[in-house]
Amino acid sequence: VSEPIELDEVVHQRARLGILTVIHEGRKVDFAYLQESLGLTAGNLSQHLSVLESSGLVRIEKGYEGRRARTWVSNTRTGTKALQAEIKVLKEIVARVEQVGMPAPTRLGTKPVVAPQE
Amino acid sequence: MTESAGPALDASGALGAVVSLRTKVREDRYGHWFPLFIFGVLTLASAPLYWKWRLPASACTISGGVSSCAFHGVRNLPLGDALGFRLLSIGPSRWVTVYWVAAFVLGYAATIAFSRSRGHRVGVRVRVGPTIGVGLGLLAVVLLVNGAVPSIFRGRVFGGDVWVRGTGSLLILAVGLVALAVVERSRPFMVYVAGFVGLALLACLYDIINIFYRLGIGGLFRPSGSALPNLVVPGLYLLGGGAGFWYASRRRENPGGASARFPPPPQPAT
Repeated sequence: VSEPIELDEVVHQRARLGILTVIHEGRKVDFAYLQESLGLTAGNLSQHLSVLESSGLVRIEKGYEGRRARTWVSNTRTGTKALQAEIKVLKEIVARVEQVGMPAPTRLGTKPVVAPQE
Repeated sequence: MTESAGPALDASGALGAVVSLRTKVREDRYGHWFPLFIFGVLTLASAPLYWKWRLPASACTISGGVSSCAFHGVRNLPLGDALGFRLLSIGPSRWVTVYWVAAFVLGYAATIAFSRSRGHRVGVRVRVGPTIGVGLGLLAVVLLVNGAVPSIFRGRVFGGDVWVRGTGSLLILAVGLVALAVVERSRPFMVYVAGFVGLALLACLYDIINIFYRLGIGGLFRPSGSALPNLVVPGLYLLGGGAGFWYASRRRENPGGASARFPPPPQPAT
């Protein structure tokens, strides 16, 4: 029996995975850029950022540039590790599915995925 | 579609989306044309300082009109001079040292200012610290060896032939650009920088004027400007790269189509 695949519920969500991916590629990323890149509404993005911030995965800085309010989001070390772990898990799932020629038995994002028995 | 088909599609779809999103962000944040451009200009601008440059006669032999120079032929030359930062004994001007220090500081300051400005405009700030740290750190080491502790190394030169033409600053620049290429994670830029590393080594180890003579255009620099090709060729290479990457960046910013986005949630199956 293969080891079960552990999923991080915070990261294993489409929008939050996207947020972590974007901010991983820059030192700091603007709120508006995140919104445009991910195609999210401001409210929706704010909610996801709050979840990530409360989990210690991102850092949020609010300030002004001239009269314009700007919010910059950056990765924490924990966030970087969580993103790398999530990508590793996704690759592992794909590899297992390809190996046995059938999909993994449980739906992603609901509970840990258990690999098919040999 | 069976219910269990979902997870496989989710995982591979999410991975594909991560890759395309990553590509988009990298393309948006790339601004590496600027350091190529600014250092290309600064390299070309240094050329007048190498006018009437010539290596000490003891370092070179001329055979059939082709010069061949090596450090081991140079006598009583402190390492500092060999690095090309003092050049009092073999070079035309002490200002070469001052120029390159000022050029590095100016070039990196301009790069910081540019990346900040671009980061504010695009919405993605990038890391330029490692690049500047490597470039200025290496410059500081060279200056330290040159100025502060020459007596320790006097008479002993590491990779001496590399420094004999006074173009060691190009190698320092090349190392800084390698650091930038690593941070930027852009394959085309890495390839271009690798080309510059080769060119910088060539400019340090070989008289590029010899190639010009073979091409029949050596007379352009004759007789006082025979050292200029060692600056002009790398400088033009940097400028050309700056122009090329700038053009590619402009095309990406005005693609005339929709930008890549993270895919929306899947629609419920009907």
